[in-house]
Amino acid sequence: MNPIEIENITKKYRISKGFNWKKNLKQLLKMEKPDYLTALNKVSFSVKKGEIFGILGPNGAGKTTLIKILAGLLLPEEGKAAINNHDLIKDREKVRTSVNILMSGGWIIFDYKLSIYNNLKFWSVAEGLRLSEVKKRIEEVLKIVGLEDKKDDFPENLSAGLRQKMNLARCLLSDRPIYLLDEPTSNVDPYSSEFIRKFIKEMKKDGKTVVLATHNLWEAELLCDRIAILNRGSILVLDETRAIKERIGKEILTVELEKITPELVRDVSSFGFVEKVIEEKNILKIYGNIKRNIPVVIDLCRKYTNIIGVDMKESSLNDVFLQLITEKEKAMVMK
Amino acid sequence: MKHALSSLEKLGVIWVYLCRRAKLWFRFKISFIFSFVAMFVTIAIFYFINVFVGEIPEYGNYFAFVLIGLAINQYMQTTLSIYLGTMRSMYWSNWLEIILTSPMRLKTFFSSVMTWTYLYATMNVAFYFIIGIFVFGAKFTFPATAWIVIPILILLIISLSGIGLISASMFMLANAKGDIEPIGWGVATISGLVAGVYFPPKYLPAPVQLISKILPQTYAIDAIRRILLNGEGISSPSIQLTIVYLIAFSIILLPIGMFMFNAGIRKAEKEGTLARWM
Repeated sequence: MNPIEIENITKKYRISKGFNWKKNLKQLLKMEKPDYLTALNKVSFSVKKGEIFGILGPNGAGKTTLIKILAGLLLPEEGKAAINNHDLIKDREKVRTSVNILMSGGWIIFDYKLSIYNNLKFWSVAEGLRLSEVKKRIEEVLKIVGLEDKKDDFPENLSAGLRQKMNLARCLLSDRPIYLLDEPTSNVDPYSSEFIRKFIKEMKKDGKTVVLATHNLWEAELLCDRIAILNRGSILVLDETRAIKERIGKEILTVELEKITPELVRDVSSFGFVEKVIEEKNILKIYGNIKRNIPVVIDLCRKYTNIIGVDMKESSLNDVFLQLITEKEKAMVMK
Repeated sequence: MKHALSSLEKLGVIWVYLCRRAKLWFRFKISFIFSFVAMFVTIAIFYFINVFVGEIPEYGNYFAFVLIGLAINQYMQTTLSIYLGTMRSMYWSNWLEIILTSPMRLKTFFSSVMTWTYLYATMNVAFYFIIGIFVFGAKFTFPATAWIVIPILILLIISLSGIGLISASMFMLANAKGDIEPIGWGVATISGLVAGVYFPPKYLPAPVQLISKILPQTYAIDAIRRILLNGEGISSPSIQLTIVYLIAFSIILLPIGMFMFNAGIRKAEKEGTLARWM
């Protein structure tokens, strides 16, 4: 059985618009139904052991809600889930102690008037480490996150990046099979972000199962084996990162020309492998299954004008993501 | 990977938490010094009130009478506020979620917080008595059965814990996330007036005395005074009756408090309100 198996998870939040006597009384007397926001709508997936699974989505897509449900900190209205073979509802305490959760601003749990070492000391014993083991373990995790020379520093004197490393150190005090990382590199400088990304790769090597919620698409593309793109609580697409790009992504040929004529645009658009042509000043952006057909397009362009430059690229996950979200939003408007 | 802590590991958590709080306490040196200055001034105020109040029928010297009231009030206020205060601080600092995902569990964390808080309250009480006796000359009778004060105090703490837990449950159940939660605040405030902390409840108007009779602290304060000022012991019917009342209050209030507190946590798990910011 996979370490994470979830099926038809639905989560709704009651919308609160401040205190309103009339409305609250009506809701209390069941004369009026409260307003709900569907944060997750029948979400299903499984994550294999040693896999890095990305949850992508814009703000408010339901990423944090999903992470909290996987951690057993939030109860879904519908659906079932098993985390590390423990039932999410019946064995909630075992689910909670099977996962290590890292929130983006999670360092707020640290007391600003205590050194990093003294802060970590409490969380070490909370994880069941014996007093005799605490010092060694804290030194180990501080070394892993590169804070070994900062153990006597106070959190208030650390930069955002170092605070996130401190948070990561807390997360590593106990050895658990599943890591739930919610925006681990947000508000963190590029150097520290790179460190955290390397670290996530190391986790995979150690056989840990990682769920990474992020809106950093480049990061997801770099790290994740599979990705679920979430929007308004629903999964739009779920597949291997490469497969998503191949299935939904486009190849883009950019041709810089001396001049562009309507006839040239018409003829390029008429090719069966071309999906879309965009004209920007003297640049043509040609979308579609282009890679194998570059010579045909170039020959056509030469018939009309001189070519100044040619560039070919595959759309990134970012392009795929934007395309999917835009299509979904358009469909909603049409509805 | 541990799912729960052993008893020894739980003791380790309590010990490290105590050390942590002590470090923080000493770190804020001005606050540390001024808390003692404030207690000294409070004792001095009541000493001078005693100069013109003098004797109180049934209990004798007012200064000794009020010192006992102040001491028990420390435990009362601590018990009524500790659960809500801890809940509030865990919510705003995101500790609650992290504690729930650790094998430590909430019970061990609350035990740690309570151990520190009651040690702190006991130290304050000791300070009240030391200053009261050695600086201002308060006189107490310490009969051989004075030990009975300890079980009475423990029963008082258990029964008030029920109210404290109900108050804490309001944080989640009724979204009482402001500075004042009506139940705990109401009981704590009314106690000062009607439970006999500063004066015997018999001087209150008859309807207000009825309120004092439904509060466990009224009985505990009276019994402890009878022991320490009048030398009464376990053989005294009024002391025995107090113990019975306190056991009854504990049996009724504590399960209600625990039920409501757990209901509050369950509601927060459903609504996603275990933490404020994340």
